[in-house]
Amino acid sequence: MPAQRRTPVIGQVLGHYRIVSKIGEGGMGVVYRAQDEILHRDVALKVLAESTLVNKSARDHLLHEARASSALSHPNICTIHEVGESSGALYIVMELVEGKSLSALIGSAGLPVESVLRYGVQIAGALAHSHGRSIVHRDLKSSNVVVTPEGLVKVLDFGLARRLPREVLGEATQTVAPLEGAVGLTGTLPYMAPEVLRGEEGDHRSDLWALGVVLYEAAAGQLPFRGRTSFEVSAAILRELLPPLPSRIPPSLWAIIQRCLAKEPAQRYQRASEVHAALEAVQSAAIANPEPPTDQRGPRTTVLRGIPHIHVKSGDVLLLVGTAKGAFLLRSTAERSSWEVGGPYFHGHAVYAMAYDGRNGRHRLWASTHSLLWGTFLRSSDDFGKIWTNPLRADIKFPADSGASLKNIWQVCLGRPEEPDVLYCGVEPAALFESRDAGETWSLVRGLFDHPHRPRWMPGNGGLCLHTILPHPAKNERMYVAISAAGVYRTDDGGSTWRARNRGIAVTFMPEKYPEFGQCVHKIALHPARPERLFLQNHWGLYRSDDGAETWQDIANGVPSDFGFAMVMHPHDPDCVYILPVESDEFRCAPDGRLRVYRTRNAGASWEPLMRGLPQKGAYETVLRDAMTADALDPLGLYFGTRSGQLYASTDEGKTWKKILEGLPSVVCVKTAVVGEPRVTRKPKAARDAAVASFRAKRSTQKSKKRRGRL
Amino acid sequence: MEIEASPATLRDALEVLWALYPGIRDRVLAEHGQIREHVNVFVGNEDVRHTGGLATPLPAAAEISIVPAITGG
Repeated sequence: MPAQRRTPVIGQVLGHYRIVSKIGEGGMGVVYRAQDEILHRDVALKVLAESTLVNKSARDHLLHEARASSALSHPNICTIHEVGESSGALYIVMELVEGKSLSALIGSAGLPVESVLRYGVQIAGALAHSHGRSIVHRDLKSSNVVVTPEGLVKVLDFGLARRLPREVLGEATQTVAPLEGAVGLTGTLPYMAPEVLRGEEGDHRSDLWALGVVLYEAAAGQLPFRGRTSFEVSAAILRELLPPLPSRIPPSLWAIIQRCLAKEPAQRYQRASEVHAALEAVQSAAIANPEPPTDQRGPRTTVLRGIPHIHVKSGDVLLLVGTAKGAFLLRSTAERSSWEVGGPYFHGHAVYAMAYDGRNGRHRLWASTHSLLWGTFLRSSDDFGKIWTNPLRADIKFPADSGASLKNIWQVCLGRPEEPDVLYCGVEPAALFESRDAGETWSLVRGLFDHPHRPRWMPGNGGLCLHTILPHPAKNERMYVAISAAGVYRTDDGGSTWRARNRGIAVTFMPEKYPEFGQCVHKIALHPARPERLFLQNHWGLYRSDDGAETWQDIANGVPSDFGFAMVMHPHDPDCVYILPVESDEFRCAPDGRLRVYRTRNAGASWEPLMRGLPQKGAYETVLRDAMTADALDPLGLYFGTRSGQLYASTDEGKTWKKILEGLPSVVCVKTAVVGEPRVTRKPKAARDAAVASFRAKRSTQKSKKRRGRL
Repeated sequence: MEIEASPATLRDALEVLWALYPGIRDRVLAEHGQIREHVNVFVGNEDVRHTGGLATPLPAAAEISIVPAITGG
């Protein structure tokens, strides 16, 4: 049985420590200055009060914590040397710190901001160190922080906080009052985090709360949560908003304190190192030259000098090329043998969709410009690119209550010839927008947006996008859209209701092979002369429908791969389709490094390669779904752009190809249009050859200023 | 640019900005009225994501910066 404990007296020896003088007294016990008789150095010796050690488990707990804390070695942590027992007294031997407690320094006016920051950074550093070793302080307060004359901070009593019984003795309140529901609380009331007050265990984030209290106290000269009784203090902690700090406290420091004192632990900083970094950032901003930099010429703008513009005449053929970093316009005569290049327009913006609206006497170009920073805007030009609209408000935007936010515009297409003022936009997240006034105003087609399948639509690799829109050329109320990865949907009532039309289209990435929807359809195309016939390029799979998308048949017969993106119908031949196979969903480049277009002329019964003029070795190219197109001229012109920034064209139905431009950013969209009436009609071959020869002769003798950008 | 008013919150200050320059609003806010993901707004030196977003209270003579995040490809 341990001997009766006596209060240590000056000169008494505990272990190998001789008590020299009393330093202070706290709730846990008395702190003495003592001399280590072996090492001949002064230490602090805390003799724990009897009330601390109510039972064996409390004592064991304290020993355990002390052992753990003694492993902490950090300049801002008061080192624990030893724990011992002598004459029934349990004592902790610590580093002796000469200085004043932070609570004494703070006084009633608070500290200058730079001191708050200086001390805060060090306390946060100490917490970061101990939290990193899974030691939570549990009783951080301004009286547990000592500041040496040199301004070095030492945090005392890590992990040593005793467990309080139901009655709480708070330092800020001189009364003892029972705290309802409080069982086994640890800490000092004004510094206790809400979760600790509610009886939860508390973790390192409760320390961060306490740090917030200390910072507030240091800044304001008083505690943030006050009251005349423990009950009032607890109520303030749990429910009251922070009283504002004096105006000399910079908003950045105020913000840090507020975040430390977020009632919900999840809303606080989650690590002491974050608080440390935040405080340091405020410190360095304050230390840095307070004068504003003299180089204040305003925001940097890039002057685009001399973008070449194309000069368009009636009958010219246009190529609209959208890339990952801007748009280009190409123009040629109907011969399509040489191209004038204009651009880059909207440089730095991804231009996923372009269109030309030549209806009703208009000559309007459309481009969607996407910036990760500033969003997506629809722009138009009525002078072939010299001037573009720059709308103040986003024309294409979801209603505020829809919960959706526009990521990108994937398609701009014209309405039917009978509705010359109608335009459609397909966007990401998958939705359809319609304009009935040639693009002045747009509205969301809610019938599709509110489709019951929508919550289960999953994005494809490029995002959940509505990328293809096909108005039925004859039936005004019918329209098809293709969505990755939801599939084909058709409306028969002008857009009020839509049905999934994917029967027969396989899915490789879901357990069910032929689900009602969810297909990652890459492209659909219909034929104006035979609109019940559609072709479809799938994420694995080529299909044809002859019944308006009611059913689809597999037509992947003799292609090197039935994976691909682009698909173009021959405008005059409903049995003829051009595709550009891609090796696989993993590789996403031309099979075997051979860039080939494949064509069927029998609606998919068989396919043949078209490759003359296209690289057949080491050409690991990708052509994206909207990057291939055909004009409506005769012979048919075909064009495609690659992800490597090359543009190829054929003017003989795809038999031979020529690279017409390279060095572009990744091409995502290629569209073509004829301005006004086409000027060239089909001539006999000999006459054509003669015309071309004389054209070339004329051109080489001219000093043409208009030849810009021709490669 | 300086404004004469004394707005209490960031949202109030930005409302003044949109009134003067209507084009900025849709480029800084998304449809749901929140700041775009890749746009950083600072009051003083503090990222408003940590100070309450658009509800961030403004001290007197607050300096608000709208800065694009370093991002993109």
